Amino acid sequence: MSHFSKIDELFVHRRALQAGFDNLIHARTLPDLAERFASLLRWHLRLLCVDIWFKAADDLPWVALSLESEPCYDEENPFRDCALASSVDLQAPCRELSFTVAVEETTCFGIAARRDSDDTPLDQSDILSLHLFLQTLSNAYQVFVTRQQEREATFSLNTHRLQINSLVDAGVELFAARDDKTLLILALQQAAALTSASFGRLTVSREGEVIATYHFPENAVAPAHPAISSRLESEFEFLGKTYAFLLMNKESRNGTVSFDETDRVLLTGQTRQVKVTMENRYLYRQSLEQERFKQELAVAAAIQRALMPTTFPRISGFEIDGFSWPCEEVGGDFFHCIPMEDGRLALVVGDVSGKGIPAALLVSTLHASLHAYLDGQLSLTEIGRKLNSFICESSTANKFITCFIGILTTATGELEVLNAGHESPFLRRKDGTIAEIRSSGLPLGVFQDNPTLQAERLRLSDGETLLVFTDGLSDALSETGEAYGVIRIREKLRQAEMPAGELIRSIREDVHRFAGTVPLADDLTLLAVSCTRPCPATAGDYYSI
Amino acid sequence: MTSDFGLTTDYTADCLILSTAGYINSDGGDQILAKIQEALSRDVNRVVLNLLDSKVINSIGISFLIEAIELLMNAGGKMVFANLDPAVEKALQIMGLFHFAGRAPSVTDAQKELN
Repeated sequence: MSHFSKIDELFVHRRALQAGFDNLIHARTLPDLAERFASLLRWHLRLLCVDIWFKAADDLPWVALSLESEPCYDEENPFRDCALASSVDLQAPCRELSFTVAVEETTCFGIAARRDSDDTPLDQSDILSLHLFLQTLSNAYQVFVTRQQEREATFSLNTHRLQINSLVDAGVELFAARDDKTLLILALQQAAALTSASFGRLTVSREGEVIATYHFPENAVAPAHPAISSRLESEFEFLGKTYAFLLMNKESRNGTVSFDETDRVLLTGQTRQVKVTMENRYLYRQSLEQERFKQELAVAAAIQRALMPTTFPRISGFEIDGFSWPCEEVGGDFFHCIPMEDGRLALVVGDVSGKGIPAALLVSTLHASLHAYLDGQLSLTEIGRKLNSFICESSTANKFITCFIGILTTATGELEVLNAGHESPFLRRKDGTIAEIRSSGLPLGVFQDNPTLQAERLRLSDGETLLVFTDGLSDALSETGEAYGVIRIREKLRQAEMPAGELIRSIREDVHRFAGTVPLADDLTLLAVSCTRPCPATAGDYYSI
Repeated sequence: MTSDFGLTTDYTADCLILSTAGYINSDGGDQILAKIQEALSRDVNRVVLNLLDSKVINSIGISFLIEAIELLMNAGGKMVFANLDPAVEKALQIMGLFHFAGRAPSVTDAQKELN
């Protein structure tokens, strides 16, 4: 062959090799690579059949990648006993080929091929071409492996991105769950997906006793005794319950593998999210309930304020005033000035034991029953005893009411009084002396039968003022811890030669000044009645104080 | 260990519709891949994967889907996902599947996209 023919032949070979390489590097799988290479050899070397095998490592068997329908070699697997080292030792001329080609340290292709018996044997030029094509195969394999590694790296990177995104999205989805059970089921399936676990279980227990169990997948049967490396656990406690997550059997393309540190971090992160979500939901429900309670309390306070007077009857010769200051939104103090059908005026001050809503409820009971009994033809003693029975039946064992009821006959100034365990009201005489109207009976609601309740009579004369108050006044504290005290009240009253309205205002201001920034420890109520004209005397017994 | 994954097969005139139910994990992904290999052996290379009843998928399940898509592409075919749960759709998006496969809101729309 002339030089030019040789050069032409080499040029053709180079283009064929380049085209072959471009073809091979488009292979997506190893069998695809082998099939393309087999086609290359068949076309360029006129081989009748080409079988290609692959051995990935020393300890792995040969794997057939591309086989003809009929084997190209006598033996079923001609490379069974072959060493991995490259053994392309071909001698021309030949019609059958069987050799191995190392492409990496422990990785090898095995090729068996045959030319048709009607064709010429492979010559030296063919063998040289074969060597060049084998080099092309080796190079294409490197490209294939590199791409494979790139894809695996990309898959791994994307998987990590997916895990981070999924963990963040999991938190959002958990918060949107409509109830705790849905939240827990969702959390479990998210945890399983995040860590590629086959199975998950969540148990909820209280004091060691399991109260709920959830599985994912729901109907799957968990392995009875999974290996320790195939278990991943995390738990938290909330409101007395323990929530324990268990994941089993981490999956991979090569079967079950161990959970790793990333999985531990993901599961811990997930359980923390669940706990935080449950805490937030609980606090949110609490705040809604508190808000609802506040609104109900505001309504209750308004109702209670409506039970007590803001204006007082204008009666010739008398001035009446009063106010009530609850230490919470609703209180246990009560006062009223109730015109009776017979023209008399009932003056009531009551103090329910305790504070807040329970006391306020009993106040409304007292208010309702008082109106009912005052409308009847009962004596004050009878009214007191009936109120006592009713309160006993209506309240709990630890609730009672101290109560002062005065019924004023405005024409005469006669005042019939009943003091059921209440703070002794004071009567300021015209000369400034103070008399105490001491309690004659036990508070209402202590005993079903209360014979100690006994009304007495006195008279309110010109220039005299009656002051009724609850112990919230005497118990009001200053910033130094000093109590306002009964003595201070007596003194205040003694010095105050003033009608009821002015007296009430004066005491309010004084208490306000005295307490400063200290909030009231108990409800405070005042009711004052002053007589501003002489009243005719009437026959009868009068209580002298 | 038994799983709860379910797979139904429906060959139409122009494609294969695979409908899944349950957790698409290694087991589920393997079943999907096997069905697609079977379809290719019957010269069917267009597949609708209906995930209406699958709300959870893990990365191993996704790896099987990637392999299935590659097989279809090698055979000149295509896969279109239908009825994707938002969380599953996002997972497939992050893993890059939609560079090589389509998605549609319904099986009917997916079939149209294949045509």
